[in-house]
Amino acid sequence: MSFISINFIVLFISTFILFYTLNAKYRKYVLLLSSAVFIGFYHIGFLITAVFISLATYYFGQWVDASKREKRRNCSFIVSIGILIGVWLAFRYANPLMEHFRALIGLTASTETSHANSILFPLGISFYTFQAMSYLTEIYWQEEKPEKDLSIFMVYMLFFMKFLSGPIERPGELLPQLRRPKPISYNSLVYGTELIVTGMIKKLVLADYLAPYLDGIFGSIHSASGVQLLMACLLYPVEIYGDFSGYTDMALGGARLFGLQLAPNFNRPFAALTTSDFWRRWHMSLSFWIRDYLYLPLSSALRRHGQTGVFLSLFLTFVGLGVWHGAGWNYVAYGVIQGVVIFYEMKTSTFRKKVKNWLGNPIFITLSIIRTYLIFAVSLLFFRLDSLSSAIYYIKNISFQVNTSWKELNIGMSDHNCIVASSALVLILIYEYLMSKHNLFDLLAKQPTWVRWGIYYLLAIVLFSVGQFSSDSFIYLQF
Amino acid sequence: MKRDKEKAAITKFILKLLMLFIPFLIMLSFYFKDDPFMVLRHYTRYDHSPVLLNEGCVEWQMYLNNRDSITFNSFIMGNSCTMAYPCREWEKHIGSGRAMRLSGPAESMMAIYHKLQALDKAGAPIKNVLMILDKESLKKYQLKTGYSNILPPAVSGISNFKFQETFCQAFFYPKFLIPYIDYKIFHQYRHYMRGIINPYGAVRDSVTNDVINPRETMIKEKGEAYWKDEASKFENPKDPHYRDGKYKEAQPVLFDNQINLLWRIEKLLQKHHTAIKIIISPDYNQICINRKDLEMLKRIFGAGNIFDFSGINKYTADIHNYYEGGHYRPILGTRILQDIYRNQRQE
Repeated sequence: MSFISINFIVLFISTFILFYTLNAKYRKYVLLLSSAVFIGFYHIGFLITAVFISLATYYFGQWVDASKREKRRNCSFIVSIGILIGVWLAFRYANPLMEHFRALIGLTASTETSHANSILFPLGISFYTFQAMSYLTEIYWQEEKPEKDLSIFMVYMLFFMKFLSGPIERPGELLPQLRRPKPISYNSLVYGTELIVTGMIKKLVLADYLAPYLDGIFGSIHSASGVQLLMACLLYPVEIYGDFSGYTDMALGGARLFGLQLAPNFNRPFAALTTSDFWRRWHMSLSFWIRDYLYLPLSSALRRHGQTGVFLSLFLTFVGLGVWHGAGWNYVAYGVIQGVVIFYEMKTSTFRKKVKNWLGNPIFITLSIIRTYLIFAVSLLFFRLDSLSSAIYYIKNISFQVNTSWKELNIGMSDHNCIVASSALVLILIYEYLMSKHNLFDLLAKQPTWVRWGIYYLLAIVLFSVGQFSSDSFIYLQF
Repeated sequence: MKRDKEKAAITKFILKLLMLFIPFLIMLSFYFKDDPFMVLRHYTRYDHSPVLLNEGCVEWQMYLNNRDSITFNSFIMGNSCTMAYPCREWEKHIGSGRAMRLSGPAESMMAIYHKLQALDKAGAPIKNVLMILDKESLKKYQLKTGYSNILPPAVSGISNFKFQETFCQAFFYPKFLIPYIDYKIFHQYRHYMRGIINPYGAVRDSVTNDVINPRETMIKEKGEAYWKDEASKFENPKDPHYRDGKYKEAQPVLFDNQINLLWRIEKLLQKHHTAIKIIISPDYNQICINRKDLEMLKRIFGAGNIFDFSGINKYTADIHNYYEGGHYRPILGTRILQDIYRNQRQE
């Protein structure tokens, strides 16, 4: 069930009531039960898969930790990780492989039979599999001890506020909170609610205003004009940011209401000056996971090969990032672009310093931000469109050419929707800039009652009156 | 001790949350009690609401209310220019047909398709269709989602919850709420309420959904002075499309999406052996529909069923045929019907 649905609101309120009315020792079971309901609501198969992988990870953790001799430890670790990756790859690539196989043996199925025979990709599997791998790796590195309490471990894996699209939690961050929960404070409850409202504004007032129009363009790229393709390309990063960071804020805020602090996932990504800086600000839980568990070990293993080793590490890391997102060459291309650009930035850092001295700081920063944004926007086309050829066609046809008139710049959005979405974007960017300088929520808490309540009512009115509640899906749900 | 502090924090939080939501809950109760958009409950008549209602919802409900007593088999569809074609005038030309207007402001082709589908699903005989279109309506191939344009679940296929949620949310929008509360309290129509509040009483026929246009009454009372008073709504010399006596042709609007949709409409009409007449409205700015678009329409629906009144002609020449630049009067619509059916009889 989506965070923006009546079903979820009922589940959340029920969980909240039970969590704080029952004895504290039952709280983890309340979270576990709610998580089971949440996951099973979509499809019982998703719950079975998630429970199976979580149980397997729990026992793998103990197995790895119990293996004292190095060889045995390596073996148990590799087998455990191999099984997790194998299961994930099986689900990820089962359908494309089946289609290839059918095509090879000359079997053409109707769309209906194809759908009936296709394997459901379990919701959240990419996120909790990576979380499981992180857990096992930390045990293997002897950074963490395996969790003894199975119920705590299952909450760590299945907690419903982060189950769908992360953040990917490190064991050292979330497990201690579950083992020794602190009593909730009023300020924490307010902070959590404020985060939820912020997330809802990003999702309902920004992302969902853009979504139908961008979907229209991406769904008919062959009939869209050059300027429409250009506008959709420029606006898609905004949509996906509003959608994903909105989801993340709601997840973090919701978790706060249960006294849990999840890891932040975004840090003003559109203020990034380089692509490598961008990936330290965008989907941070995934990019840091990739850095710590893939890039650093790879670059350490390949350090003998100098620059080639660095390039290979980057290349493989970002191919991995692309493949995580989907089964298709377009996702690989998405990852490769990031890797190539980051490598280029590493090689040209001296040159860019000279350019900065020549242009001066303000102009250099502005141009760098624009450049980074445009690179990300173009790379996202490979992420959004369903094939490499579509993405290449799209890029080739971006221009300032119109089909009928310059009104196509608004990609079909009414003036009202343009104003709402633009205002939301500007306010969100201002909010994030100010949050980077001061904690706005703390500042708000210090204001007189009439100011605070005025802002609360204003936000509630904005959400009630202009929020697009009719959409109930999030882009990153598909992973 | 810690548990007591936590309990106090939770209690304080819940009380404050309730305080925040109380005004919204009170407004919500007013919404459910008043049902300003007339979508929460079933009504036998929809012609006397103080709020300007969603056309699509009202006309569909009117169709359902009346279809057991009147076998509607002829439908006037299209954008708001359908107001110029009274059902009783059209019925004079279609033999035994009983007509009803199923149109909407700035109606899209997708809305027309969904309405035809809904009629088909409801078992309605679709013997005759009169479609009133222009290049704007031909261009639009997606359903609108705002409260004034959204189609009921039986027509659009959206869930009941999403349908009701749209209206519930629209109630809270200041652009609606402020005029509505103002009117409810003071019962006085003010200019800023335009588009929200209906000050004219009955604005539709309770059976055919024909428009009862208050501007006809204004024209009867004011005579020639009406067009002098409304001159600003006709003249716009800054507009490059303004009528200047020179031939102008609009840019094409029919691309893949629109053409596919038109073929789907044609297929549905074929199923019912419907006699279709498509009228391209006489645009006051005298801009012709694009010739390629016209050819495409003729290819899909048959050349004999397409009637183009756009451009410079006797229909668009006289200002007295129009209420303002966007809408023309029934005297013009009636004349157009007489001309197309007379030509048809001669053929």
